[in-house]
Amino acid sequence: MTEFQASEPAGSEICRVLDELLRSPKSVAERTRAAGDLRPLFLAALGALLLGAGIFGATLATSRGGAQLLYSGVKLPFALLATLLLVVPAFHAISAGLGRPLGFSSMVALMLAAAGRGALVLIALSPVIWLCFDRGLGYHPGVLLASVCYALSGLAALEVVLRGIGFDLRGLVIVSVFGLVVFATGGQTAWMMRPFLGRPSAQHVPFLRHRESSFVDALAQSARSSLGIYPMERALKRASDRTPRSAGDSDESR
Amino acid sequence: MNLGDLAVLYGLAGSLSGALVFRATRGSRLSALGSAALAVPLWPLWLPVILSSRAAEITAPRTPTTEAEAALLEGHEAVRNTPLEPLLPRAAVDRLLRELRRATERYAELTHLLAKKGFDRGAAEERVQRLEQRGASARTLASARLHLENVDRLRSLCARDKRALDELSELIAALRTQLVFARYSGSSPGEASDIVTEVWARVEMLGTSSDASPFGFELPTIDPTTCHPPSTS
Repeated sequence: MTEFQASEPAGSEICRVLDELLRSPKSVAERTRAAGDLRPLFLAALGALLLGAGIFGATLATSRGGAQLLYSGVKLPFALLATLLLVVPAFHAISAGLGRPLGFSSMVALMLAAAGRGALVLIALSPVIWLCFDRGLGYHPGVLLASVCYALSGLAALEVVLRGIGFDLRGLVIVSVFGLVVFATGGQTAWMMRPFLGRPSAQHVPFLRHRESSFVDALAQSARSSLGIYPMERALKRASDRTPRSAGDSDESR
Repeated sequence: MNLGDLAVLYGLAGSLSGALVFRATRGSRLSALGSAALAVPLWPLWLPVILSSRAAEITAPRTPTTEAEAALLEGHEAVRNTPLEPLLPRAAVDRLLRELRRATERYAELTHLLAKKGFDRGAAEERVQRLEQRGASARTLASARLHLENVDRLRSLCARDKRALDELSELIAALRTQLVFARYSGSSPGEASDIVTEVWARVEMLGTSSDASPFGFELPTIDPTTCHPPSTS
């Protein structure tokens, strides 16, 4: 019989992974690449994601309060998980296509670990959001502040992904291409799950808004607005331009 | 196909995955149920992980604990439904397995603890030497020495547990072959009976060392107001 070696109990293994998620993205990335038991990592990262995104979602909704707290606390983790479900196969394909193949289960673990780390950063940023809303931060600056928080948590997640794929030029290309997929998919998923903040002026809080346009349409519209081109104004101007001419036409026809 | 149709298909695949995971999960019914419940909504993520983990379990070299567990179960299988069964009944096997796992967990915790920076013997020794050279106060030096002694005690505890588990694993392996031999040769179960007695004695010893104070004596309670143990005068 071989020499006795220690194997860690499951509970403490999960706690150790949580600790690693925060302190050592390198060892988390190595863990995902090693062909071992990925269940503790999966469970720890999933727990971090649900808790982190839930707390951050509920904190975002403090600007509106009431039922929105519960809605956002449920919807944000759901949006993140739905995005992960959709993008992991794409990441697997991109990574393999660009010469860095990784097992599918390793890819799942890597993505979930990255999302879990990002969610833990969101927990850390929640008090800032809470304080700002408590001090009277408005809706639009609030949206901007939330975007900054997402960007910071995204950076924390990016470190895990890059260490898993490889911190070199090829790794950067893979992550950049994948970033486009995540941006489009995550953006559309979050767009469909709106509202997360809830407008203070709204009389009642809907769980989901009625379906209208898409994330890309909204982006295009925002880009035009930032250039001073407002579609509604333009349409009204066109309408007002047409009205006298058509009246004149009818006069002439008479 | 709209979102509703997709959701139905997704749910159907999730239910099938849940059933598959429930059947494939070894261990307690509760953990199998939990695993299956996780597979229903998250099957695209959970299914690859659980299947690859199972494959890793199958291909991984068996640890001595799992070998000892397997040996115990094989020993019981060898005597099941024979006159030798009272030597190693199922209830006894279950209790032995429980004790073995408990001792293994304790050893794993100790090993994990001793791998941490704060429990490094070399660093503790170096610190005592540094304090001695620096001419630190007697109390500081005494605390540093106590830390070093405690690390030594923990290390010896860990080594003792390892030795006990190694010996028990060997003994269980011998018990298995003895029971198999007794079954096929029809010989007297005397020797196997001796081994069973020895196994129980060692398991009791493991249990005692797990329950006892790790220092061999009761630690004094600390007074929270003064942060000192109560005076013995």
